[in-house]
Amino acid sequence: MGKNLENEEWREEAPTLSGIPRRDVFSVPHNYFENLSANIEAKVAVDRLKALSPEQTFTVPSGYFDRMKEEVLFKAKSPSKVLKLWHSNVLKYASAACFVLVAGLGVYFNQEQPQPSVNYAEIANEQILFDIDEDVIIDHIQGTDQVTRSLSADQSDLENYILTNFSFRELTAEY
Amino acid sequence: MKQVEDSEILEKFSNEKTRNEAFNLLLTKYQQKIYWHIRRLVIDHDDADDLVQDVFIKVWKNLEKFRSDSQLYTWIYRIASNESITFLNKKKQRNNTPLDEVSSELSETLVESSYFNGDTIQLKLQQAILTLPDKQRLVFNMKYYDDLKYEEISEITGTSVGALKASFHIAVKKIEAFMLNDDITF
Repeated sequence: MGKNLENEEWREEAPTLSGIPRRDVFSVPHNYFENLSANIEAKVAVDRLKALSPEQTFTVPSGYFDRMKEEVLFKAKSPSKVLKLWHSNVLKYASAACFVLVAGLGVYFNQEQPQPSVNYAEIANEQILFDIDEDVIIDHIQGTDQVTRSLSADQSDLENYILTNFSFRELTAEY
Repeated sequence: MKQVEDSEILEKFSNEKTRNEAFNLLLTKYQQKIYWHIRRLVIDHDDADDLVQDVFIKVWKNLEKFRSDSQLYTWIYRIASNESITFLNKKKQRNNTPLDEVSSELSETLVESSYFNGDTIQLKLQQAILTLPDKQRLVFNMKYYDDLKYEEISEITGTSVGALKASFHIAVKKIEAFMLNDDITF
């Protein structure tokens, strides 16, 4: 009762505020309160785990970080070394000789075994033949054969004519 | 649904075997009240979500040390209020915001928020509340929205009842004046 009276006193002082319905005007994402307990409990569980295990599970030797700092500073300040590829003249000339020898042998063996040259004309002809219809080729071959046969017939007639009209002596005589 | 008594929660929490159950009961009973209390202070939902979780982690850690000479809910309210005020102060420092611009910054958050479903009058009321200093706003919210008694607010804030009455009276007057000002429209 006392609480109600106490909470109503201000209404007389502020009639405009009093006329505004008291309600929560903020909203929350869908299912927010359904998941809130679980989210808080998960956070509490993580917190308990953190409390159980020390922050650093790995250790380093004592004074490691001080030594590391000194080493890094020392390495950073020391001048950089120039590495020589050849420490003596003998090694330098031997390397050059080896290089020349290897290069010479390479050239020699390449000359002995010439690369087979590619006959582009043959390849082109094969391609043309491949592209022509098979029947056309068969017809062409048959036509050529007839001409050859007719030519053969003419040749035998000529031989018969020569054998008939000329003697062996005349035929074997040297001119 | 019958609400579980605070004394039962505390008893269960004192037993290692029923501690998790007790905490679950506590969350069920207080999570929404505490969320809305924080939300009205910090306005932004994501900030309120972070804070409400931090508050209950603190509750979990310190509940064992809780002394029964104060009420459980006023103790949780105190943690939530302190966390929210600390958050707002840090936010001001981080953004280097002058005091008079704090309310306008929170008002912008309010207007831009996708989780505000009030009408023009409600929006104006929220803007009016945001013109109050943080602690006055805290007192106003606990009285106006949560219907808490001055003794309870006194326990939460550690401020005397007389000072709280004066603070609430001033807050109401300021809000009434803001609401009557026709120059402020939305």
